[in-house]
Amino acid sequence: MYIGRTIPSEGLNLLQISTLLTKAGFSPLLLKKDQSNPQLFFQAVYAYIESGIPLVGVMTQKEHAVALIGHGALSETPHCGHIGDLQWSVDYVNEIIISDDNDLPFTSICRTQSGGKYSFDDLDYIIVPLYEKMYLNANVVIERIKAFVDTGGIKISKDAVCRPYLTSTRSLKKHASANKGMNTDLKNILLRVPTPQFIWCVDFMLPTKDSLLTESRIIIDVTAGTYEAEPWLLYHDHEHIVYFDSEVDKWYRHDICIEPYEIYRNNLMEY
Amino acid sequence: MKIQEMMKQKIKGKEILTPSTEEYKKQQVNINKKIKTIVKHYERSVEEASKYYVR
Repeated sequence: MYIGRTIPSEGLNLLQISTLLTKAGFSPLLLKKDQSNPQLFFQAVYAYIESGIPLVGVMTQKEHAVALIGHGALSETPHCGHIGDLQWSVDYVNEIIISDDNDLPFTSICRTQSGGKYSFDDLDYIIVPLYEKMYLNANVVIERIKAFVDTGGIKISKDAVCRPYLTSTRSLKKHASANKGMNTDLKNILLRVPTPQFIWCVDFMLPTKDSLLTESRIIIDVTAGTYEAEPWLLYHDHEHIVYFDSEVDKWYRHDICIEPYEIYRNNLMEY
Repeated sequence: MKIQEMMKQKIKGKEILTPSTEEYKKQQVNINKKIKTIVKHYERSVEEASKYYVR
């Protein structure tokens, strides 16, 4: 708790911000940028922003914090290299949309300093206000996905881009039921499979001339333990759907040809 | 096909023992090592959070 003078203010330290979020009913996650591997930090930043969760973005050198509320349009080519063979959608983002009390609404943090007032280099801490039961953090999910893809668990195209996000089961199923391009068997299984209130969804997108399409998807139990080896609930590629039926405690595989379908866009509005 | 009609038929897949490949299972020690590093980094992030004041 802060015991200093209100004015002139020293500001708040990050634990105090975290405490405020806890008092508001959230379960905040703090993550510092590892200077030796900044990509891990930005993969997490992107995953939570893509989930539609506003984050506290901290620039310790500038002693300033802003709200990270969205990201700019994905570019056609990645802005930086990718780890291993997988391509990540964060590498296609050039700016993070922010709300800054020192500026007009909807300004941005650009990948490079030349683009604006702040750059990705300035951002070095995030505080994510999560719900209590969102246990699995973004970096653990990403690590599991990398291993799953590398060991041939799911088949993806060479040019597919991996896009992880958190969402509510209700929203994903509602979007699936309205998705005209989604295979009906996949839709049927997805709508029936028992899932918790929130899930991690990892889409492998194919960029086409006019739009982005999902070719493969992995749905992960957000309430799974950090070291749980198989936190999957359902996954599919273009050849089969694998899903867990918790009512009978069994895994099933349905072999079917699945065409790419429209990506899920419910978390963030597009302007 | 309307959603109500589609949901009338229940798709039943083939039962399988495990959703992952043998290779994925063999890699668990390595994966858990990497995850341990991630968890430690998150813990360090909390420990150092009181050092920084922002406005």
